[in-house]
Amino acid sequence: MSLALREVSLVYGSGETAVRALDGVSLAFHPGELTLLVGPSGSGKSSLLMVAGCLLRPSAGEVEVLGERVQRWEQEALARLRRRAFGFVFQHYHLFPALSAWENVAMALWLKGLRGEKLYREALALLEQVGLGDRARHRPDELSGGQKQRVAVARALAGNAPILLADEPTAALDGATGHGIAELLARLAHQGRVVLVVTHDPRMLDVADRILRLEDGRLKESG
Amino acid sequence: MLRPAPGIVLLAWRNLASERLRFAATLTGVAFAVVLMGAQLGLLLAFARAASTLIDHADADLWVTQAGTRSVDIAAALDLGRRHLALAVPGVVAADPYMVQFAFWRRPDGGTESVIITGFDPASGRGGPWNLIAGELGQLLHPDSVIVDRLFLDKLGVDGLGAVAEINNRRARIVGITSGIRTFTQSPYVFTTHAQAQNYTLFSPEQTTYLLIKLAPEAEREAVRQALAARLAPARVWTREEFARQSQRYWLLTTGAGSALLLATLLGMVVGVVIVGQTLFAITVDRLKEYATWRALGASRGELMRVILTQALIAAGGGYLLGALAVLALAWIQREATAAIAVSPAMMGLLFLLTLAMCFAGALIALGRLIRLDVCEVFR
Repeated sequence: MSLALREVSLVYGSGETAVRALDGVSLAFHPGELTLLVGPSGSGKSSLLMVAGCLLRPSAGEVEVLGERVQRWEQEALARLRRRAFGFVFQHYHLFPALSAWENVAMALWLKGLRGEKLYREALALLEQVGLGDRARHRPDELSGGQKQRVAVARALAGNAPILLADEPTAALDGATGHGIAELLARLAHQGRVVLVVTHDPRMLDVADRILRLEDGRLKESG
Repeated sequence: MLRPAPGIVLLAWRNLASERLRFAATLTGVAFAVVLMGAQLGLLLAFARAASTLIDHADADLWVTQAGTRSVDIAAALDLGRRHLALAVPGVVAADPYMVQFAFWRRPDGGTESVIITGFDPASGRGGPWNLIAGELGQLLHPDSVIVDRLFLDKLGVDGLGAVAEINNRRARIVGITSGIRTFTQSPYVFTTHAQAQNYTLFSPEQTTYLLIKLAPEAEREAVRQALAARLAPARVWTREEFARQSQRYWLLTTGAGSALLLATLLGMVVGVVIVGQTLFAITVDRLKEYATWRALGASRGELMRVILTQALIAAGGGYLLGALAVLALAWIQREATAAIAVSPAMMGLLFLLTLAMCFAGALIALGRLIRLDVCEVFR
């Protein structure tokens, strides 16, 4: 199993102002599946994504990544884990504006330890994989929203990350472009990755293998 | 072709270079701070050199001074009879009298200036002028003859060789001109023979202010110094380096001149810290989401901090290059001035270290923001 949460709770703050964002969530994710996480705003979707992506430590419960229980690991150890296990895609891309598409991807590969010619070839291959081989030298401000998101996906795939987490990856994209990104994520899942997508976008429903619904920090249903 | 050189340096460079106006302003600011610091350090170095220039050029191994002497320019009378005692110490091959004393120079137009009479033994030439560009040293053997530096001709109200003025109401004729002999006090050195200097300063023939000791090549300097000190007490015997340092300390520290220059250097540094700090902080805040993304992808805090420090290093390197060129140009322009800006490899090295420290200090605010970076900011 690549990623699993067991009885995970997350509480922000303390005392009377404490907010329980997740409440005893248990989930397992399997390679080859694209899982959608849906629910109303404030239901805890992003919190679950942050805990599953080892960006936040849970207040209680277990997080298992690639066979290791990591809920008590120190921040720098979690960073090293994210480096080898995770890729992230965000609604607003967060590409370095001063770097070209190729350099944005290459920086992620550099983090994973690649250097020199191998890094160069791998970055280009990732961009070709998302259909942007001919836009490698363009900077983010020279790309459309869909192209930027494809660069972000290519960056998330750096180092062949086995787990891909995406937060509203199609929310800022028009119809056809959003559909293209949804299909791309599904294809990447079916290549053997865990893909977890937080979304409100109905276009994602067509490509999902599993849909989870979160309300008030609790898992309500799955399908 | 694409350049396969991603990493900290690429990210740092692109972050700076993409904000051209901001980057240009930063480089200008750093360069300005470097010029400020460099000019002050250059003045300090020039003043330090001027404060000990007589000692540095006198070719003496040891200096015998009256007890309590704190600077080569301010000397008390020393009994010339001690010269024979000094010569009797094994290892001493010469003990030349040397006179340094303030006096009044009456300009041909009637004005008065303060000068420092510097009387040396023409037989040995030890303690005499250097960088002679006009006239001859031998001309000093004629009565009332003096040598002055061309930097001070205007100040002394004379126009060159043959000009006549008065020192303490006695005639003085210029028979030689040197180039680049500066003084800390801005009172020009006026070189003459020791005997003539005694006349100008109203010292008796049995008085001088220093004995310049030259040692035999095989003599052990410290042993001779101790022997001289024992024999000439209460006079003090200094090594050349000790006396040079003492003279520099006296003028630079006790007069406050050095402190003022160092304070100005510090102010230049503060200017640079503020400019660099403002730029790096602004660039960092603009990129927080990207840094948080990079952190999410597994970058360590150390790697994020290295980006900021590399930006500081780039700003320091670029600003230093521009500023150092300006400092060298300033030193060249000032080469004819009585208050020069001196440069040396060590001073330029120190200036670079100060620039680095300034830029890294400027980076601290940005580093502080990055250390507090919440990786979850990418979701907001």
